[in-house]
Amino acid sequence: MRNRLKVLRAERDWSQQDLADRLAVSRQSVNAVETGKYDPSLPLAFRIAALFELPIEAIFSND
Amino acid sequence: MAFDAEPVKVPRTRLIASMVLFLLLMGATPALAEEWGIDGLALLPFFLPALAAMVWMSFEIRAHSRRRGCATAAGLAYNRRMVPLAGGYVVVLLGAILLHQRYHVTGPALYAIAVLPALPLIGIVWALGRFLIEETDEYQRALAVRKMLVASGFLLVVATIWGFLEEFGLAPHLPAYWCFIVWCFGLGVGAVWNKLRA
Repeated sequence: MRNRLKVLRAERDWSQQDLADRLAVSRQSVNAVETGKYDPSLPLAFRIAALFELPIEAIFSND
Repeated sequence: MAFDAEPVKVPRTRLIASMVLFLLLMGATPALAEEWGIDGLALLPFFLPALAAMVWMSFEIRAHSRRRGCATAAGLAYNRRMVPLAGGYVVVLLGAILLHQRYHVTGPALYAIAVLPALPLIGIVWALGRFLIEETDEYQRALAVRKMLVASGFLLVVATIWGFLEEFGLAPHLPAYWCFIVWCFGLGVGAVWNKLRA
C-alpha cells in the first residue's frame, strides 16, 4: 500500500516525531507506515485521515 | 528535525557493552562460585556485579529506545517491571537452594521451596502479557508479537531436536525449565529477525 504521508508532513513542516506525537505513537511507527513497511489498521488510518483533514483514500492507495 | 523519512542512526556501543557484561557475569559467576567452593548466602554478594550489570543494561535499553524513537509508555513500564523480577529470581533461587541444602526440608514444604524460583519467572510471563495489553502503539505491539512467535517457533525446534538427540543417547537430559531460557533466547532471535525486516 502506498501513502502520501511524507508529502503531507512536508506541507506542514512536521518531523516524523511531530506526527508521532500528534498520533500518540512512536516515531519508529510513523517511519514504518510512511515507508510502506507496515500497513496501519483501519482505526489508525482513520486517525491519520482526521489529523490531516482528508479522506483515507486521499492519503492511502492500494497499488 | 527535518521531515526526513530515514531512521535516525543512534550509537549502540554502551547498549552492547552492557549486554555483553551482563551475559559474561551471569555466565561466569556460577562457574567461578563452583570453582572457588562458594555456596549458601555467600553466593548473594557474589552475584551483585551481575545484578548491577543487569540494572545498567536495563537503563541502557530504555535510553536506546528513547534515542531510536521507539520508546512507549508500555515498553518503559515493561522494562521497569523486569528489573525487580529478574533480580528477585536470582535472590529467590539462591534462597531456595540454601534452604534445600542446609535444612533438608521434605514433604509439602519442599514442594513450596521447589516452586519458589519459578514465581519470578511466572512474573516475567505476566509482565510480557501486560505489555501486550497496555501497548497502544499497534506497530510496536506487532513487532513484539512477531518476536514472541519467533521465540515460540525457536523453542519448538530446539526442544524437538534436543528431545530426539536425548532419546538416542546423544545429548544429556535437561530440566524442563530450560524451555524458559531457550524461549528468552528466542526473543533475541526474534529481535534480530525484526531488525532484518525493518
